[in-house]
Amino acid sequence: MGIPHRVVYWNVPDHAWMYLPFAILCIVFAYGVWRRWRVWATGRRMPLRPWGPRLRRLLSHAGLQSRVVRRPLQGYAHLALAVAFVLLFIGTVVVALKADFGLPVMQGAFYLWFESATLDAAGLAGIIALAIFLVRRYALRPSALGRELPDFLVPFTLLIILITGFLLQSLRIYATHDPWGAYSFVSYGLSALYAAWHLSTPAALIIHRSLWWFHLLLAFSFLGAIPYSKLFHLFMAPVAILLSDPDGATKLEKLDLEHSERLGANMLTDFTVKDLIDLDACTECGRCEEACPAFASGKPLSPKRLILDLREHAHERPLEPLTAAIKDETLFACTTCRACMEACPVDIEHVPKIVGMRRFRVMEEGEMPTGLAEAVQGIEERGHPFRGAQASRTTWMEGLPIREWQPGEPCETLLWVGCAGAFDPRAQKVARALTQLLLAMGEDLKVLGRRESCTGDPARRAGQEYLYQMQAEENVKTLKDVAPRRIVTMCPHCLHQLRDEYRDFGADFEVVHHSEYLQAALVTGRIKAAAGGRRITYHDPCYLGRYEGVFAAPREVLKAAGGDVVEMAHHGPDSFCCGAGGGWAFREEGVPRVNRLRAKEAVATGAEVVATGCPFCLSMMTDGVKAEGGGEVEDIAEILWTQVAPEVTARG
Amino acid sequence: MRILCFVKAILDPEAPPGAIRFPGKVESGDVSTVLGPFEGNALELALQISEASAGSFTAVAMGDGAQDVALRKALALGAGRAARIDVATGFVDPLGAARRLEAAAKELGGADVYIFGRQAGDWDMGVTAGLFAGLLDLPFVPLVQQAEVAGEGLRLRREIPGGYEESLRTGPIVLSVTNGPRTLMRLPKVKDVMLANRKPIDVLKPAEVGENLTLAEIAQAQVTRQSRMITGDAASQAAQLAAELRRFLVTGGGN
Ligand code: SF4
Ligand code: SF4
Repeated sequence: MGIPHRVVYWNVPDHAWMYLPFAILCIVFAYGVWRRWRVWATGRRMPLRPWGPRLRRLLSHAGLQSRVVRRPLQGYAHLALAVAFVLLFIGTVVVALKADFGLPVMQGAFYLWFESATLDAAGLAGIIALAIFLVRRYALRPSALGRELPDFLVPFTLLIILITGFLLQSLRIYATHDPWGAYSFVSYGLSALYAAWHLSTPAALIIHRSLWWFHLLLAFSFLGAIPYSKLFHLFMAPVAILLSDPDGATKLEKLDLEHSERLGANMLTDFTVKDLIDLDACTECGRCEEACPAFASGKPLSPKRLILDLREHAHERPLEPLTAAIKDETLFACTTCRACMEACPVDIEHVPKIVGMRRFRVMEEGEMPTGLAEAVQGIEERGHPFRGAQASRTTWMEGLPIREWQPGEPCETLLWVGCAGAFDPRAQKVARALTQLLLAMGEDLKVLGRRESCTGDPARRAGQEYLYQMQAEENVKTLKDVAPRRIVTMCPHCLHQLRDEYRDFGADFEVVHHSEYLQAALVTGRIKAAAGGRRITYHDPCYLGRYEGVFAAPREVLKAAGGDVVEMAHHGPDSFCCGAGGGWAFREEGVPRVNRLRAKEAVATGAEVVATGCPFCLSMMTDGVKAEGGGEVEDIAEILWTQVAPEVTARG
Repeated sequence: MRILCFVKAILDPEAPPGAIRFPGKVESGDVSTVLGPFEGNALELALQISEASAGSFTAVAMGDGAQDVALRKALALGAGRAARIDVATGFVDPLGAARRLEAAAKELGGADVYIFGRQAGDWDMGVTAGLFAGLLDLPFVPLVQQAEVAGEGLRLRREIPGGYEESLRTGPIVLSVTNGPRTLMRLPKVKDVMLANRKPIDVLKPAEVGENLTLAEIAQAQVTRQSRMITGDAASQAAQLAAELRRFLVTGGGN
């Protein structure tokens, strides 16, 4: 039998003709890539260093597909298909090395175990994966998946390519009585069928030859279609992942207000290269849409549609303004909750694009939805967004033994109350509970009082970057004067500003959320809580969880307060927004409202208390849970204070 | 069309109760100064008329540096020029104010349209525009909600009970503007806000006009709240409530 091998192009004497369609494929492919390159090249460059975190993310998200497999069935099917694709590609290159360059690569054990057995396994895995995809899309029909012609053609064509591959191989094994045929176990099984059917050798040869050309042309067409379809994600997804912000794009870009030709994004050229590549990297998987609270509550926004509309715009009308592609109702529907970005398997960054476009509408054209405009005007005129507030910055602390920081004084712990804590009657109670806890810990506590002003977060998220920057500069200046050892805040939006976004304005303070500070105090025994026993579910605020990565501390605090913590359907990084973010706290929503959807989940846990760690979530969830017939909604500080107060009294 | 729009910045009308106190004089504490609400409407209308007539407008305020807030807003919205009559901010004698504005208008070269907000949001008198029109011997249309440039003149719409009325004027006119769907002040563009912060504000010396009215006293109303829970079954609650109301009507709330 000699060295195991097979003859390439054995039944196709005129195979040299294949270089003609191959040449066409190369041209079509190159043109397709160039068409898209032209668009990316117009984007703004962005800094890429350091590369380390980017490469790690590439390995995890693209190599191991760690986000794809979060949905196990379709996730592992996708991983299997991707691996099969790579293996089959290598197998084809090996064939080319032998046929076109005469290299002795396709023989011996490598031929038997890789070219035969492994590739058969890969082909089979690919077929199973594609069958799962097709069944899911067309039998289970999830609404987030499209069912247009290309959505069918892509998996179907691939399926036919794999099946015809097996048919070709089996016909060859059958007609040549291949002594090593059994290593190609799938094809070998098929060839046994031909024997049972008494297929004649001449017939097998004719079928093989015709099928060979069919398979080849179909495969070339498929490859040629890649840069013209969502299949392009094969190449662009890894690039999008590599270029994605290592911090998850939680920080918005500081806009150069003085020198930007245009404030915000209204032309493709206002987007970064990464933004433009994102448009071609989208796999249309719909996971972002499924995660989106705006979409779920019927607002005219789907993050997937947004990306696809921008993609179409980029290719069909690249020189027209973006307002032609994205409507204001869509832009301003976003709560900036980042659920879409957390769900996206290829690290597409929706929120920076949305805020970028908002910046243009707000700053260049003076467009902003009512409610939001009033809130932003409130920040400008009186340093807080709460219209009609009946309180001053210090009303909430009347009767408590704390006072405002005075110039020249040292400051150990600064409580950054936030506008909600100062002006919203419900959040004032949280501020009081937290203050009492901190005082019980013996904390040397100060507040800024009249010197505190809105961090500007609502303005920034709304697209009013100019006002935001003025607020940020002013606040950083104040904080540098105070120079506190640490800042504790009860508002995750303030936390995100003070801890992260203010770094672009020269801030470098130790800032913690009250949940983190209270948890540390419980661990070290600075406070003790009496046993509780209530069933509590915890709502993760987007800006505390997905933005700041604080998931465990608030749960630990609740447990320390004797709570029996039960989880909602969406929790942790998959949490579902309460509906307040992105300025929605100040707008009138239609029905159904996001908070009602979230409250339904909370009530379904059967918890007596819904806990949270954000004054905006508190207000949204209070309304929602009440409407859904649930129990109390409280901040973790209030829950803990209920358990700590008796201990403090007992100690006298 | 040459337009003069008079604006005024006032103490934040949304300041929480008690934040502004006036035990004999006004104590504003940290309360910020903001553009008066009806001046926002006036600016919007000035802007619309100047856009429609391809012209520009000048914004004029009267008071100390605190008034610059209003003038900067006007500049950000597109005023070509801003001027402040430099007097101390405080109680306003309407006739004196109208005279000073008249002098300033002359100094600024006069105009075809003089636009006021319906009333300043602090002293709430609402008469300066009318007095000003009288001094200039010009027609006056109060409470305008919509204006359209019609040829050489203006078509001005006011709301009347159950409908609206429109008047037509060719030639100089004074009008005051109130809030309405067409006079909602637009958001200034940020580029314009940034430019406005660098534009000059002309300071005009106030005309000598003499006092017609002076402030004799200013005092805060004493508000007392009394509340009491009415208890018992529905019928007895109703009876108690009726008795309380009767007593209130007879005594005017006193005891
Ligand atoms: S950030 Fe949240 S609301 Fe906005 S598009 Fe993404 S999922 Fe939807
Ligand atoms: S943006 Fe991401 S999550 Fe959304 S459809 Fe595209 S690939 Fe899927």
